[in-house]
Amino acid sequence: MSISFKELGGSPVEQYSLEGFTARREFLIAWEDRDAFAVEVLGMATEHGGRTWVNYPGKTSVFAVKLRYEPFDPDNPDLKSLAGLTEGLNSYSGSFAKAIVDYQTVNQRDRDDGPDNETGTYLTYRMLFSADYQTISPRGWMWDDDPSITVPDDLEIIKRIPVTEHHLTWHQVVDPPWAAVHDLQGKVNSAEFLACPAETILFEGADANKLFRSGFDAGASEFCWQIRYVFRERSVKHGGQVYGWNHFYREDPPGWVKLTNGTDPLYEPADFTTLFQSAAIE
Amino acid sequence: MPVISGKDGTLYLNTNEVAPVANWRLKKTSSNKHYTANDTGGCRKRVAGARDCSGRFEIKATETGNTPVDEGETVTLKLHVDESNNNYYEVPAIIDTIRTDVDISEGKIVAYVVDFSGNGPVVAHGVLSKTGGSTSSGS
Repeated sequence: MSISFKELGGSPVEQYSLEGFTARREFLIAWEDRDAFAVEVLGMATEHGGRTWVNYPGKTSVFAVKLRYEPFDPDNPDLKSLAGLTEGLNSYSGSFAKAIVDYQTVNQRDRDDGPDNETGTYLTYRMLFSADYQTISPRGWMWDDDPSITVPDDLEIIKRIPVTEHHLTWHQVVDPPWAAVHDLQGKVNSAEFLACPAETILFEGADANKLFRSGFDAGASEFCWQIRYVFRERSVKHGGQVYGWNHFYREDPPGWVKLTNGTDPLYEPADFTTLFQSAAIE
Repeated sequence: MPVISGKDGTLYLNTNEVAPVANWRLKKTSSNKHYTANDTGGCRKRVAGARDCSGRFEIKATETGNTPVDEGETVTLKLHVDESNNNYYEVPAIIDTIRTDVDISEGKIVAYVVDFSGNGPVVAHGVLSKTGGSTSSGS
């Protein structure tokens, strides 16, 4: 690091939680060094292919994700005339800026059985669960201890079907694959994905947020994207098999069967690999 | 090197000399911010902060003279330490309080005790300036 800095007394503040390890560090830097320090801490989007943000000392999976500046002595701005809103700014020459840097745990790849992360990007994973309830017709069912006993027609058989949300968040993306996101939304996995059998994972969609980088000298600010992909797994486990989004319960003969319109199932299978490839290399 | 006696000090409010003035005092400060960091060796260090001033002057009441200031009034004070007209502070100020002391039992002279705060940079003239000439507390 080339910009001179001091770390203030009282820093760092560290926290361990369900979100992983997070921390906040506070520094003093020369007021004039704000942009240069931001480049060193958060990196520049064009420096893709390597580590773009500094890691927390001693923790290789914890990175600087946010930087905030405030004047160290807010009561002592320089004497200057500000001709207009776009023509000047308070300055504190010869004094310090207080830099507050937030760090967060970002593993390169949370799931070893998940998609690969491109160099310089990170894939984090979270899981949430819920359930659907499927009413099954009693026709075709029999009592296990005495099949001769009639199963009433009004017997309510309800199968609880677990539904799992898989959230894969792709960090530090410079060129998101917007076309792939649009193309694959509403489709199911054609092959095993996140250790789930084919056609059990439905790609619901994506949230995309910008993470601004430095490089504010001229033109638009550079930034990377943080994209959260949401997949919904529906796995009906029955008779030693796993049935997914294209399978429905049939009364006669009873069982879970794939439904088509003669050529295509309800949900089109697709390869989700392109969701994790930058548009530049598609 | 002869020292300066305060007996010839004067006070001007805007451009008018105020009399009779019993005393005046001025305190100039810097709001220095302290910090400790990895390189301060367990000690506090400081950076110079915003400059400020405050003070007080006492005027004796006369039978024909009006109170020279009101509370909340902004004025420019010239606080002379001697009669040379060269050695004085020029202080933009705002009046904070006016206290009137009337001692009925002892019959002391009625006095207005006026407290003020700075309202801009103080300019020190003559020997009161660190470098000689004139210097502003804003420089």
